[in-house]
Amino acid sequence: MTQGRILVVDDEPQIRRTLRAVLIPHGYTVFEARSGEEALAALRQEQPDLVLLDLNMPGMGGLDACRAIRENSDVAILVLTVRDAENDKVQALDAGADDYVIKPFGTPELLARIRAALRRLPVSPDVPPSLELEGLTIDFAARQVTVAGKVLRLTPKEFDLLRYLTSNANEVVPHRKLLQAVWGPDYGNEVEYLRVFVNHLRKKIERHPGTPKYLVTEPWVGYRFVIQKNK
Amino acid sequence: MDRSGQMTRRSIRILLALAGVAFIAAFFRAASLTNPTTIALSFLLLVLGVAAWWSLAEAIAASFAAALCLNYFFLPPVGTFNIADPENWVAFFAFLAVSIVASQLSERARRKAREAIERQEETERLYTLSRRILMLAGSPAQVAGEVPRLIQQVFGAAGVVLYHRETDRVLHAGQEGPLSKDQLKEILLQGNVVEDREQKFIALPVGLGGKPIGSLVIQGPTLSDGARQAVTNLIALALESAHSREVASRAETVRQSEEFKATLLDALAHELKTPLTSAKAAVSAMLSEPGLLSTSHRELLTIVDEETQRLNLLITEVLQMARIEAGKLRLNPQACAVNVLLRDAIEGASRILENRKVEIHLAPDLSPVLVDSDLVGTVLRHLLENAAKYSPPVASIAIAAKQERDGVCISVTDRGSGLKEDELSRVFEKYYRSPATRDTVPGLGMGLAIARNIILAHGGRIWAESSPGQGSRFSFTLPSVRQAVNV
Repeated sequence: MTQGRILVVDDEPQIRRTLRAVLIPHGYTVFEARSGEEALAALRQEQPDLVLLDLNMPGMGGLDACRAIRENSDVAILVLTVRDAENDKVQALDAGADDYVIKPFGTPELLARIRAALRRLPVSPDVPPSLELEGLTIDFAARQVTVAGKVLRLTPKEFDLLRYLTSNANEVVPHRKLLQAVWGPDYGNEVEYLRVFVNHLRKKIERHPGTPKYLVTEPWVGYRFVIQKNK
Repeated sequence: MDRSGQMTRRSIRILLALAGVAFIAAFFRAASLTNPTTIALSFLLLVLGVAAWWSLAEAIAASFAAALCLNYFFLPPVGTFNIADPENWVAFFAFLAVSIVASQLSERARRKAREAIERQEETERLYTLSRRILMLAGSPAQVAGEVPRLIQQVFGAAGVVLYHRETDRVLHAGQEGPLSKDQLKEILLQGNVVEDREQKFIALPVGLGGKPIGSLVIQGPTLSDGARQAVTNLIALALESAHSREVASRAETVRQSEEFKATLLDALAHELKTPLTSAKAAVSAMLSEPGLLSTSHRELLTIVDEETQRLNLLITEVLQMARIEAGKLRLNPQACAVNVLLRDAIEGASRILENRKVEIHLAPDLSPVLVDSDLVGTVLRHLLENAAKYSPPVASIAIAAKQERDGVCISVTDRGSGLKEDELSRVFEKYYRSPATRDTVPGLGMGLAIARNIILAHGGRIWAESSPGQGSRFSFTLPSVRQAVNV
């Protein structure tokens, strides 16, 4: 059985060749695209579970490709980049990436990131199948969120983040705990991931993302999902 | 030539004025009109007319001629220069006094009007000059070359000479100047105005805010003090602004070439990192397979893996230096806890620190700092790497952080051989490597220069202390966060 379908998007043939040689022995099915445009076509055709996307490509740049993929799909996106400045990372996350790997990377690190990106929060039996709040309905079984009657598309990581916070409603969840629950045990310092993903989530579920009602920041510590009890 | 022409003109006018007086006298004699008052008033009219149109000299001449005629032909006894009636004496002197005073008043009014017109013309010329001078573009030398021609045209001068100090050149338009270059320099240095009425030229120093810029000689027109001042100020301004434009554009050229270098290195770094990525991924894939490799193969591949990593760090460092030099160091400051910064840095440098003992001394209640954590991480990594490189493998390294009034001071101390007094500041220079260790310890001499730039960009300080033989301490300060910031 395949571990997952991975679309490798890079203009460098040697990188595609290396990634293919590295990923196939680990049970992944690999598809290749040489540009953002090819990636969008392959996305429809091959239905991958994860896109390994190089940020520095001629033609449609990596960031634009990332945005275009995210507009069309909830597929996990793992960005490969030579730039390690904070700004570049946040830009990639903002464009819809789930995670990034700095080139050059070691194979064990890449495999761990791929596993984390494909990872879904396990469903524990004691969580209610759905949660209904004022103007917000979360259907955990169908992985669906409805805001003011409209069904929203959340990426798997966004959904897992929301689910983890709601299952610990009204408790402060520290950054590290949240990262480890949603991304995996190798994570813990990537506070910027949380900042970007929580922002995405607020834009989707909050009526006033600037003054959130549900997704509240606890400065220095973490985040808290607020459910008003006396209603 | 001009002066004698003026004399002739004046003589003709005087003759005409006298003819006017004779005509009036003849007219009254022929008409047998003898009322002295009427006659005196008629003469006065003539004198006023002369004073109004011509000048004081003609009017005075006419006044005396008219007085004499009045006396000789009309005041009894007629035909003599005697005056019998004392009343007529009074009338005679009253006439003389009125005609002289009136001519003087009239002359003064005319002179005022003429001066006003001259001043207005001068102002218009200054305005034209200022517009044209301030529109001059190009280098200071080009501007200096244009200035004499402009002044000559605008003021209609016979010749204009400008000595420009910056280029040490004498530039002129029209007539050759009356002064030598040394004399011109003298005027500039002394700051004195030299006026020569004989040769009709004026030499002026040109300066701005006490800074001597040049000197100017104008031949021909006389300029008011205000106009002289305005002209020299205009020239000074034009030359100074050309000068600062040139300096700015030179700086811009340097900046652009640095930026070009950074862009080039950026592209190069990407090109270099692509093959490194393939190599690293391939080697690490083999290394991560248990049971695939023999011990010696594993060792060899580990060397390849580590050297790939080192090559990558070197490329990153060169790139960082180029970005800093191109002024592309952009901070992304965020509130960070000092212990997190230190922990991440020690984790990042674990390969170099190996099993070395690292002592951490954190003061209690450290305030969080507002920094770009990536860049400060780089600083800490460089300091830790240096501490490890320049001290024996068994010696421990100490990291300390203490609160200061407006920030946090972090220091990294090693127990290495230390630095000499004169090296304490030189170690932060780019490419500087201590002669004592440069042949035995690898490095590019960029780490501390990069660290220094990063800390300066944060508004902090970085310095080194050392007691030779005991070790070195590198310390730097970081700004504190004043208020809690939402994370």
